[in-house]
Amino acid sequence: MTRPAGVSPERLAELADGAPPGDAAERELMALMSEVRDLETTAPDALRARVRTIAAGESEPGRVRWWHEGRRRLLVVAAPVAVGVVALAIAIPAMTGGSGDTAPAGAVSEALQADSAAPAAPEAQADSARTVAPSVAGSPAPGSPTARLRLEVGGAAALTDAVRRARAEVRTLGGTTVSAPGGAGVRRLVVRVPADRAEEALAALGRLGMTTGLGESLPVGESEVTIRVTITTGG
Amino acid sequence: MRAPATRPAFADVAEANLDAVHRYLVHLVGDRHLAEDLTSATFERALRDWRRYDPERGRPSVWLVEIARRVALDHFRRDGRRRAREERYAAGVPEATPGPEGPGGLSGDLRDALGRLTQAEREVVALRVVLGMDAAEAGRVAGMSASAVGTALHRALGKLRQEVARP
Repeated sequence: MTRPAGVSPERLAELADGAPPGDAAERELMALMSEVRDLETTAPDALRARVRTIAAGESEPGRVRWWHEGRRRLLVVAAPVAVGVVALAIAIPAMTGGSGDTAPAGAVSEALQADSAAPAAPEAQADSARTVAPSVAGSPAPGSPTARLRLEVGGAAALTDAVRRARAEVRTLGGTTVSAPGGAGVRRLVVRVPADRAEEALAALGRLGMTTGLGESLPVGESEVTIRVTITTGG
Repeated sequence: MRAPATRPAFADVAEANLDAVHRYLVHLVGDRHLAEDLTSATFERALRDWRRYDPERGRPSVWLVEIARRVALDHFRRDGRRRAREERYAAGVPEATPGPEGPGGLSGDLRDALGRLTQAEREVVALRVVLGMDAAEAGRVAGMSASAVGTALHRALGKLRQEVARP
């Protein structure tokens, strides 16, 4: 084994902890450690700014942290509820002898999905339901797993900028923007990204504004994930 | 009775430890750009878990570096799964596995020599030499005993010394 000039591991540990060197060999080792330390660079400014933005989330009362901290708990509650609702929707027509043409499962699912501005718990239920029943017509492929993100930005210009950056982020991650309709103060993007980039996509999109809602049920074994991003000006 | 340790603000902790976390990750992953992404992810996760941080159990820097390590390992696991998937479908075009490069942003022979250390050795050098953690703290982060940290550091510096002295 390569030994640093006859200095034992115990003595080396003392030197690393700041003990003064006793001879030339120890001085050489100290110089080597000092050189390693001096090689280091500080974090680049862009990273520093990014981390400051993240840290600023601490002082935002409630909402962002509530979503992050409570998300798993919400899903633990919402997922069984959604599964129960779907099971009931299947079981009731079977028990009453109905033909099933009225598709109660779809109706329940659509009802759960209806209001994108609904409060937190129903929104989480809707997300869970969406993974069980196909989404409404139009955007995601049938059965495509869906995540939902709601962001708030500072004004109309920031909204336009956030949409532009969101498209760019999605493109960078190998995804596509399916649609981006909107009205005054709001844009609703539907994007698709490769499943293995979904977490990165959520993180990147989440940095475009203040996260006010997040529901995800990321898939196992799927090739693509649909993310619905609602960006508002918060006014 | 000992007074309970006061809890600092997360923003202050982040500001004070950003360089340390970044340096640790540069050494651990050997790629400056990846280290930046992982640093960012580390602070996102740290903010989520901030209420669980207990000042009685250790310095914030140690807690943050532990998170950074988990973030990096998660990344490598995901990356490994992705590679395995791609390899299954791409029918055997061998993809070059990134070898241990010297931590980006550093320069010269010493950087190259650091790049030739094993990942565990680079990690111990980062924890003990660059971040100045004691052996117990470094062992807690790296999941090894304090004496194993000492042995790894000894081996790493021996290799570095030999590499740098080589003509």
